[in-house]
Amino acid sequence: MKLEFLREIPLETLRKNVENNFSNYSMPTNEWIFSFFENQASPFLEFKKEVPDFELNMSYEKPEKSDIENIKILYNALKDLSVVEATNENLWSGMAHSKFWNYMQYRLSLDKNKSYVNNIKNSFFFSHGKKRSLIEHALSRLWWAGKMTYDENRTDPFELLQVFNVDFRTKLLYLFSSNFSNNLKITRAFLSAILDFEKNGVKIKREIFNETVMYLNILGGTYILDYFEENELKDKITKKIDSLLLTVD
Amino acid sequence: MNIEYKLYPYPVLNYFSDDYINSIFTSNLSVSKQGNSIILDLTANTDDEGLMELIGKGLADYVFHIECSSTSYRNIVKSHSGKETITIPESKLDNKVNICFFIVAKKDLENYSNKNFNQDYEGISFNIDKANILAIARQFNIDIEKEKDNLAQVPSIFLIIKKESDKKDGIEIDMLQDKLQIFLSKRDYERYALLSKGSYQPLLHSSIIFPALIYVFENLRKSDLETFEDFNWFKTVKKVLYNIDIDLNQETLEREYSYDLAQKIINYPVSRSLEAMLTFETEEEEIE
Repeated sequence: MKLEFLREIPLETLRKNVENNFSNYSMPTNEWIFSFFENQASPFLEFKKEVPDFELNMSYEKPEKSDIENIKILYNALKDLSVVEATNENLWSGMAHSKFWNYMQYRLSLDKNKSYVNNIKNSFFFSHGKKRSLIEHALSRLWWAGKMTYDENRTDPFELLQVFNVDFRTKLLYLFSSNFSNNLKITRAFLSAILDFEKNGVKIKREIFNETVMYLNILGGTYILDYFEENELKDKITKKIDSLLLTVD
Repeated sequence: MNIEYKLYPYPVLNYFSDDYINSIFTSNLSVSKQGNSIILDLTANTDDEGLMELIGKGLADYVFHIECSSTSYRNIVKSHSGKETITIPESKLDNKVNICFFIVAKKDLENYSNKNFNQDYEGISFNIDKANILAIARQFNIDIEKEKDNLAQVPSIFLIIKKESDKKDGIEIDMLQDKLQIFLSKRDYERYALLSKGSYQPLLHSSIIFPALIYVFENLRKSDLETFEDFNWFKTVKKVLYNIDIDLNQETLEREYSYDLAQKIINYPVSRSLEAMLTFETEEEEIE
């Protein structure tokens, strides 16, 4: 399967013209794009890497319910992207405007959603700082969520995704915004600690999730978190959550 | 990880506080490239006897912390000697890389004290946990150049974009992207596209690029430069000015005229434009 990315000028032209094109974004196909770039070469180029055929699940009444499943599908298929490629707006925006046009319609519910312009800008393009855009873009956030949670040492490498079954986007944004999540060992220790609680029937509410993220950010001020073994760090996090549970309840 | 000027609950040897006296902890870095890899030669050094003793006994390590925030790369390298050569595939890094140098406790240290502690700590010892930071040297922020900036094509910092709009025909300029974007109405864009293929480059530089650059410098003068520092156009402009001995900073922007900085960057466009027009005149005469 070939992915398509947007060349630079078409990408910037589409970004700048979202207001003028907004009704086109709820069209069932992306044919309007080729008319928009009339008399010019195709705005898309083929991405150099061959990737396995895959299709995202678009069968849920509430599209957000499909996110966890689609993270697995997309990340498994695109695991071989380098992180530099995976930060590239030309690729994600190109995919959104081409092969995954139907998925974008489904995920954004564009025909029902009247706040077109900002929603389109955030989901089809990178509209924030580079880092946050990766989590706001409707396709790139699937890849980065997959990368942050994938653990080949687990029987189910995507087991840690269960932490995101509730409040997916909020948790993802909060976690991804913290520098410590750049180190997968720290991220795994964090998610693993939370998952263990939830497996034992203790629901970790949003406030505790956020407090624990803050705890790690503060801890990182005097400790080099990366220096710990994953188990040591997980123990520290578990103790913190224990004390938070006592306080909050 | 930006760790400059933080405060700690125990003495930390660093260059921005006097927790320790008569001790230094220094860092050095050289960057090179080999094939598709970035090579970092890292050196950390201290003259503090207490810390050196801890390292010698295996109770502390030199630690190099390497992070590229935009690609979510974050890794540490532990070192006994304070000298390491690290190879990182280019595909893991993108532009800005931050490198921090630490001495870190390898094990819990009970009643740690050091003869070089500031007098304020006289007679006091501290319980240090494993992974606590004991020393911080100056950090480095480096820009990885993965493609050579093509200085021969200065207009490559610009993108001319079509904007379909019924509102107005005026151009628009966007400074908040990796390239300076100039938006033309559909009709103007089509005309520009035709003209830009021919001999009219100098005229386009003086009529479109030059005014846009003046606007850019005026905005830089009134703004916090940090707003723009990460954009590629800013880095290129800074480099081009540096090559003609002009340092792009607030002081320069206050002192120099925006139009003069602009014309220097794109090689005196009004002059080139007039010269081109004379050439057209001459060619017309010859045709008759």
